[in-house]
Amino acid sequence: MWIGMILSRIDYIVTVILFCIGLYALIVKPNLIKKIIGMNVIETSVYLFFIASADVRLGPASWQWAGPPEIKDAAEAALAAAGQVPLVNPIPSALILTAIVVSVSLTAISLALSIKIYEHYGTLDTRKIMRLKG
Amino acid sequence: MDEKNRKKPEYDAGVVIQLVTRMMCPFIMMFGIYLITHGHLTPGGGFQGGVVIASAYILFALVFGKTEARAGASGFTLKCLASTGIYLYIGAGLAGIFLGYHFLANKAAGIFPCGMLGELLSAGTLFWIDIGVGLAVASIFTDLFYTFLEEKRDDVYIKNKKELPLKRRWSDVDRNDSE
Amino acid sequence: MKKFLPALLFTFFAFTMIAVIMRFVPIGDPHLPGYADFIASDVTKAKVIEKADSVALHYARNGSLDTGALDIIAATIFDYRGYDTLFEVTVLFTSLIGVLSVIGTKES
Repeated sequence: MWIGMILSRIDYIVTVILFCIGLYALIVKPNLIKKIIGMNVIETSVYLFFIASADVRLGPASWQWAGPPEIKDAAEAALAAAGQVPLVNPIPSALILTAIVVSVSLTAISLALSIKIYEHYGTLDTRKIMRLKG
Repeated sequence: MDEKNRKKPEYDAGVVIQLVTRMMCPFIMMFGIYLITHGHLTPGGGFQGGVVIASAYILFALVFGKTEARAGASGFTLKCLASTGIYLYIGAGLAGIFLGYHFLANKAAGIFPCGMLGELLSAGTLFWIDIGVGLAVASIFTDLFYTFLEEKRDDVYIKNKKELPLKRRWSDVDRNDSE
Repeated sequence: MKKFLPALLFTFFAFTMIAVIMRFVPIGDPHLPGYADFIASDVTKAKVIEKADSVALHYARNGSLDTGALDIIAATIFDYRGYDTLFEVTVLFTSLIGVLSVIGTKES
């Protein structure tokens, strides 16, 4: 029973593991570049969570509803024969498409600031940067 | 640029890589343009196609060096293209307002062609929005990467490495820098 | 020890989150808030729904009729959520300006 429960939620569990790896890198690692990598891993886990939770089959695709009736009937017959429906929930995919671009912007700004920090302090180690005070 | 005026690249990537890059770049860009223009028909769209086009520019810059890459795509040109893309988006939205509908009105405004379902010029504003977003994303990503590649640094620390008091104080922990 | 403690902590955190996730519905199960309309309707016989409570179902049934796009993702991000995408491109442009202002200019 436990195996079935785990296998039916395997994407969520991978999401949690990825999230914890990213959080570990974000909190424990002193290097700024590795912190940024950890942040990206956390973002990836959030994308995976959204896409996995979007896997709810919502029936025939929208162009099949909009098309001529013979196309729709043929599609419905094919679907009934196959016993499944093709379209998943489209909204999380659209949200994640937005989130990816925002994450790229965030990463670019972080890397630029890291370059400036390295020029100023000569190191990317946050322990040293915090102790230096200017 | 002809062969004589061509500057020597910063580094030589090798004949094979240069030849393959020169062959592949147009096809990568063509695939990106396909993704952009067919964004409302097939999976893909402005963002994905823009990133694919930017990847062609990034590949060119990695292989042939940054000066040769900047000769074809200067910062001013890329910023103009990015602004053009965003203004195309806003203009496609404002067209709805001028016709008496809301911002980004698509089918109700009817100024853009809404042909049969599945044609290239079918989805009204979506086609033009796709082109605008693709233009903006391609030029912005290219400019971001080229900026990181050039990186006009101050070199305050690098030149006066030994004169900074900060370095001397913490030189004992410096070997853990890569941790 | 100094590195072991955070790893232990995050392992505990991961197990806590997995224990919470075991109470979720399995992947592909529509018994979630937001799919009540979908569960009530019959998938194979459903007509084009004029007023659907669930946004996803409305997009999935009426997307091509409303926008004329075959791709439902394009219809969602460029037509239904056009403002979102517009300001997303603005965010990208702002990040370019931020990067240029930080490392694009040379200080004297």
